[in-house]
Amino acid sequence: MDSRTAVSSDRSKAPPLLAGRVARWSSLGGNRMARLGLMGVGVAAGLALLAPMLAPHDPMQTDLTRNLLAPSWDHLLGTDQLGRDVLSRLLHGARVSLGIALLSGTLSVVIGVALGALGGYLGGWVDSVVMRMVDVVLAVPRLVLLVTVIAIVQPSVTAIVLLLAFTQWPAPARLIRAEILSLKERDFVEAARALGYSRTRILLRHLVPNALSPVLVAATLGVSHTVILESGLAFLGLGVPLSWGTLLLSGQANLLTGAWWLSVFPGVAIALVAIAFNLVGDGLRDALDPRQEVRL
Amino acid sequence: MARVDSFMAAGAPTPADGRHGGTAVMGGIAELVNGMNAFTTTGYGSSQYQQFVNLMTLVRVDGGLEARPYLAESWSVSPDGTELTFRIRQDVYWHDGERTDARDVAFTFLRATDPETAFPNPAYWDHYVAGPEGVEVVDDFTVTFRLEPHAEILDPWRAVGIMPEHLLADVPPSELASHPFGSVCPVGNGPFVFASHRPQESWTFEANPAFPGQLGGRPFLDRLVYRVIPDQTTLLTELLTGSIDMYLSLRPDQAATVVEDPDTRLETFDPREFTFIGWNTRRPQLADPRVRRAIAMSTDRDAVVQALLRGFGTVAETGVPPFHWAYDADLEGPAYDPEAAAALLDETEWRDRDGDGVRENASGAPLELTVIFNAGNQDRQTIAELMQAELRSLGISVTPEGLEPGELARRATDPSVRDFDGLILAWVHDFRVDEKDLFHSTRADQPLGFSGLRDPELDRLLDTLQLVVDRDQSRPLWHDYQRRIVDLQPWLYLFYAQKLTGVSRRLQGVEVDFRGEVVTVGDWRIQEAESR
Amino acid sequence: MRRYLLGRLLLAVPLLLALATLLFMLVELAPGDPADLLISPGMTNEVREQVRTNLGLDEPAPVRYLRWIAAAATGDLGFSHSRGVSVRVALAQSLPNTLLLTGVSLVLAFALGVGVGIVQAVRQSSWIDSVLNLFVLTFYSLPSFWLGVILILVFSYGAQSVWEWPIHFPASGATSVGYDLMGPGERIVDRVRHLILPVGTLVLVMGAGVARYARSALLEVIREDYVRAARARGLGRARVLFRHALPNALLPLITVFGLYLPVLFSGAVFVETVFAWPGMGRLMVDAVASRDFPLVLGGSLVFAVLVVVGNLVADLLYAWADPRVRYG
Repeated sequence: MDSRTAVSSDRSKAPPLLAGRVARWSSLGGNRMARLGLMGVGVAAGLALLAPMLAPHDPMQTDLTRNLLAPSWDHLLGTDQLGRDVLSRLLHGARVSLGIALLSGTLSVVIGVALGALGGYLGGWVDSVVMRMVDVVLAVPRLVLLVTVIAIVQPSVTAIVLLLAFTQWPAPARLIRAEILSLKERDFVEAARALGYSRTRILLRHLVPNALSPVLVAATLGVSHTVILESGLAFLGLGVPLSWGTLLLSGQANLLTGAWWLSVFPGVAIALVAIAFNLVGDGLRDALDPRQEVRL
Repeated sequence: MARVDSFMAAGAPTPADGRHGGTAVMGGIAELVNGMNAFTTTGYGSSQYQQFVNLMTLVRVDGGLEARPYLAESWSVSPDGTELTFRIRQDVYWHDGERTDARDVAFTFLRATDPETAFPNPAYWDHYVAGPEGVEVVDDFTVTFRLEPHAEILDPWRAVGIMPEHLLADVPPSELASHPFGSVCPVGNGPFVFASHRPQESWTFEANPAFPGQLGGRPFLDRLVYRVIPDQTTLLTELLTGSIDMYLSLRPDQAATVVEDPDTRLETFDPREFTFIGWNTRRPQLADPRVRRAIAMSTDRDAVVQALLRGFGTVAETGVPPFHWAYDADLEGPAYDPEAAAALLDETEWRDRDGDGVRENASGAPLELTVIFNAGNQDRQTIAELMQAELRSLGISVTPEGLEPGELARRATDPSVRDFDGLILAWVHDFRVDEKDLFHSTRADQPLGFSGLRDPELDRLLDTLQLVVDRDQSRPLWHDYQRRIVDLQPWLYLFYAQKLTGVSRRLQGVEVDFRGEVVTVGDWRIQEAESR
Repeated sequence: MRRYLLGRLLLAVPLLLALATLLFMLVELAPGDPADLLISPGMTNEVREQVRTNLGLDEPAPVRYLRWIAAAATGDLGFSHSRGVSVRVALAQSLPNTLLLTGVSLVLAFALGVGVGIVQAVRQSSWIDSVLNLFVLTFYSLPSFWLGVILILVFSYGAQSVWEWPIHFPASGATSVGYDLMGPGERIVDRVRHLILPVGTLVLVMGAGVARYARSALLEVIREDYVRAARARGLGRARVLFRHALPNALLPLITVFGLYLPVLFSGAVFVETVFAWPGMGRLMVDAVASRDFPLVLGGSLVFAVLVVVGNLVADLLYAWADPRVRYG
């Protein structure tokens, strides 16, 4: 299994406050590579959103008399075994693959931030419970978990989103917990406490917003990882129809036998989107927080 | 008991006549799941190696499906057809030196008919008297079975490898299936001796120097290796680079590459396996045979054979394979005609009453079908998507649903579930075709009764067919049967896919036919200059 | 120190118990059992029931759960019906293959990744940095199975059959067919040749991750005050980098190594499948598919124990390497 995980080592140094970092966020515009990545992400998202309008053909329309045509003006990226237009399928597939990646990424961040912030702020038994949950999730072989749970719920977009979110929340949880642990001793929090603000208010208004930036970086990088992971699920026969992973797989056996376009284009699409999200993530990290980051 | 102590396969010298020697390597995507244990075998790969490589069956069949002697040198049937007596060869030895005799045969039968063994194909013994009543060891090399007269009585003995009594007699029947004998320490009596097995990696067999000369004697090869290579691009690479000598079950889209390469050749054989969409006729949408026929008429099966199989296959009309003696060559299935299909559907209660493009019945229920298949099987997914596209214009809404194998099995074959409308599956019949499991109304609540068909005419034919002993007498009945199937359309029969085998130039003597890839394994030769 | 160790190990017991329970429930929830998967001609309900009885699946789940936990506590992980051997033997057959593949890959990925990271950090913003960055990002963004197939097509098929290079590598398997008949020297060569493509795939993918980490860690340390101070004292750039920045940047790599432990033990199923490598990843995926419950549970449990112990070792290493960390 590919094991690309986002983590950050705990550091005692607190990040600059959000306001300052928003200013630096705009400096992302100054980073050429990040700008390129942002453009890539934008283009991919645009293509996915506008797929029904942009796709030259119906992605499901079969025509057995026109199957396995090499790329041409009629079919820019060729046709597949059933005569379906590869470009149209790729465009519609972008909605599935990007959708899965963005949804599961968001969900894992929401779960992770909620649990990690609670644990870090409240400490005590709450923290212990959260951290033990993290331990359990990390100690289960992720592959076994994915394969078993998909056997239970069957491959579907919903199932895969939930499952990926479930296996990926520990990373943001750990990040935000570490942030909050270091932030909560800082002066502005002390001040808020002295002013008699409620714990909820302190947590939601002061701590979480200021601890979010490493999570944001990790989440962006996580999206690229999820696009790759989804293609891996397809490789194990657990993909969903039209996703890039499924398209890639349906043509992989043809790499050596002529119809290279079936798998090369989805493969390139996956790689380009993953690269774009990585570039944006890198740029964000440089702009928001020069924090250590590793993805295995 | 006679023993041959002097031989160990590995220690025996290779005959120096130029034809012998060398290692042939076969590659396939799947592990030989049941190993060399004939009591658990359901898989094609394992059966092949049991029947032709490591174990022996009592009889073999020739190209015309007639039984020929193998472990049994002769047999006779009593005039009333209730006793079958085999005379066993006296020169066959288990690879540990023990002689194979009638007790091994009786033991195999006793265990296979013992309910505790959970033998996976009890239909073999439908007309045999099960248990100790049904078998008698007359002398060391003679064994008699009791049965009621029926068609193709020798078929089980073509399929079930004889197992060694002296090694397994003490194993409780309930533990036979998972006994290490199958994949850790098999001891056979066939032309090749088990040498080693690395799970998910390889099986290695060595020539049996003591294999009877009358049956071909020692194989020419020194060693036969089966390698598990799960990825088909890797498999093709290994064949083209000469790392393997035979690629089993080549994909149709890889055939051209193998043909073009000067170092490899393509062997094809008549298919036994057919792919179909099994309808759940319990469902109101599919209860009317006209609906099922209309679906068949709007499926361009010839085009499917071309697109999916690159022409390496034939359209299927029933489960009786084209090479089989019972096959009706004049049978005409539903021809591709979308307009006639729409007209036929219009005769039924299913019409598009609200103009949404999907037909409804009188009570407003839409004609929607969920077609399930094995997730990850690209071909089946392609078929499902093709059905979805083709039936849309007919006013039928098809939802393809890829399921993980365990869930697929449960939804389709658990009689208390049966949660599907259509099921894409491939099926391999035994040489004795018997579709009672699939279509007889009394079997509708058994695992394989997923069609839920209840047709008295078909029941009558199914009951009769298995009891007519003479092929010439039963052939017209078989033709009636196939016509009835075409009329009822319980399944949408798609195609018989040819089995494609890629063989390297250095491996000679390979002849494949409907019996499988390794039928002639004893005659396989490696050209001396290219031996390894 | 000893008390710390003991505490950590004791803490692992409830963790493993919770994990075992969770896994058991998951496996129970998975639809279908080995009997359901028997779809051979002639199959009947009776045969399926008998198969369940023979495999002990006819007992209620709580009974089986207690029985399994009790046996697992004594080290008996049960019997794998799909392999026809005990779970312990099945794992012992696959784990060494996995350790060889992932172990070699991890070591090389770290060596390569750190090396590339250093070059990039030293030559920050140069064209070398950009070019390397492009490679790193690309390999980091490719599905490993796809990269594996490409490597096979180039270095096995292409190298041998198309361009006829003098050097090419086997596309599959852990050893050649005649391995058993080889001498010791040949065996080593054969092993290495078979390792090259799968290891190459993993090293490219994992090494890219390490390189990204190493580069950013180094750059961050370089910005630290003491490094600037060293530079200000007039020490050479290279000297500052290797004597001051590198050791500090690499320290956390130990933690990172701990994070890679799951890969080390659970194998890399995609690479294993493409290269027909008989390792843990395929073992576990096949076990789930064939509903070999004891093998799924046993394999996962062993994996969890290895991860827990591995993390502990990583922590101890960290303490040993960083004198600031002391455990009471």
